[in-house]
Amino acid sequence: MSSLLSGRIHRLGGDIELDERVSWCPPGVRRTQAVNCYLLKGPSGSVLVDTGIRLHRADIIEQLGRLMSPGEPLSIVLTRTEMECCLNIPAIEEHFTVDSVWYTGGITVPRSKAESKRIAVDPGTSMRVEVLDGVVVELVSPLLRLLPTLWVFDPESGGLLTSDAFTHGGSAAPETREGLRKFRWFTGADTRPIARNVGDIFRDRDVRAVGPGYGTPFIGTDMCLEQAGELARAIEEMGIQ
Amino acid sequence: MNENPVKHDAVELRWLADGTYWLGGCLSANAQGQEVHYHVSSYLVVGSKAALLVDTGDPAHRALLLAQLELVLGERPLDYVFPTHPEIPHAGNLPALLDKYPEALVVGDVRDYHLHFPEYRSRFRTQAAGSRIDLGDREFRFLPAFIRDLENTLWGHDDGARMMFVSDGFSFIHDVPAAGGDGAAAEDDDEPVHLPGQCRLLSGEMPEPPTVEQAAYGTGRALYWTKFVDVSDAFGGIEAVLDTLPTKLIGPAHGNVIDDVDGMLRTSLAAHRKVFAEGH
Repeated sequence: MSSLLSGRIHRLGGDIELDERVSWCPPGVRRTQAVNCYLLKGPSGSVLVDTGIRLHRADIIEQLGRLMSPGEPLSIVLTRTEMECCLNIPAIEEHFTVDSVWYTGGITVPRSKAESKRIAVDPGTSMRVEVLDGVVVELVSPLLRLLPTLWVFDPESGGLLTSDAFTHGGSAAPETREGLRKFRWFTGADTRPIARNVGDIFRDRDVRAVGPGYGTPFIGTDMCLEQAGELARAIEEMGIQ
Repeated sequence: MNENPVKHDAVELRWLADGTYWLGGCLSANAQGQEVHYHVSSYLVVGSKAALLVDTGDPAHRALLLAQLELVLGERPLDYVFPTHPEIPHAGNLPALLDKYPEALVVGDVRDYHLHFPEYRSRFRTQAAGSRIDLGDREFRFLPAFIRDLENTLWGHDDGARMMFVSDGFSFIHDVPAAGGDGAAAEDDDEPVHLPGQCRLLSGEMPEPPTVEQAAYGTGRALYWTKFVDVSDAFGGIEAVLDTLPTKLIGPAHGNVIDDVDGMLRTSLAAHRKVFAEGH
């Protein structure tokens, strides 16, 4: 567990063995990789962005316990309704007071006792939402996606939580393209609009940290802009233009 | 923001062919005044030696699915569970199934499952595309997923019923809601839907065969990336498989079972082309 931005956003989760047993692992790679969820501390409660993988369930409960006060309200925002984002909801609900679960996608609803709040943001646009009293985040719907996906931008800190994008950080020599393994459909697509969208998202916001769902974060405005540029280039190079 | 209440509608299982059953249920929602349904199907293939379940269904249907399995299998065990890929509507009931059937193995492309269900890791068995499982008087073959979202997706084929299982492929709807009009589905729905009463109908039993527009509506919403990619090559692969594996039925996870295979192939390919032409 570590602080991503000035005590406002904390990174939770743990490491996995990134090898042939993991579908997003590039061929021949064997190393550890962080799998993350993030806790955003607000004035009267906290917002958990994704819930981590079940392999890390006990660690995440313990990490949340260290960061949260007894009875503190918790809102959960899911960047996708995929398993690595939402399978720990029931365990978290056993230990903490979950007010609501925000999610996007179709009518497949994550399992939760809390109020499920479905949110739809058109791809390529964004929407500001108060996901907990006093915590307004901007939910960005990127074109870079397989399934309905939200990136969560916290205007107060400049943290952009990017779900299954920007996942190449953490190796000795990070290759941006390694993080695009999941998006192999790009090889048959005109990816220029997708690449442009990545650039637009960073041009329009003061992004000071990028927090991906897998891999280590990128910290600092210049670093974030550099990584966004490299990702956009890698996306464009993968496509058929 | 859309706060549609979602219900979990139970539906009866349906016998499809000797030893082949359509299980699972539908989710339903109120979309601007109209009730719409969304299949979350599983299929049970019962051979003389072993039984295999294709997809686990949604946790909302856990009790329903277990009851359906018990109805068909009785005291007989479930031997294999084949989640076509690790998403909740396809693999979300794995814990309940593995607890209920302690000898059952999880088969398919099982990458990532140890991250999601580490307590069952000793029961995961990799089956690559092209490999087969002997169910006794029939054989189940694992196929590449020609149309998919997650990388670790497989399709399957049962030579007993001559049925192909296509996961997220071949989803379509039967009533294209007029956007913004009365009875329209929500603009932001990402799933293919159908109407109450149509849950267990074969495609040939529907009031009308699906049009290209209807198929395109479901395809474009369920498989976002197909707006950017011409999938004609994938259909070439599907046709090559159909040439070698006689197929009378196609079972999608999120659509009605297809009994007019040739017709639906044409409709589905035309739908994908329409989505691609209009979507990028």
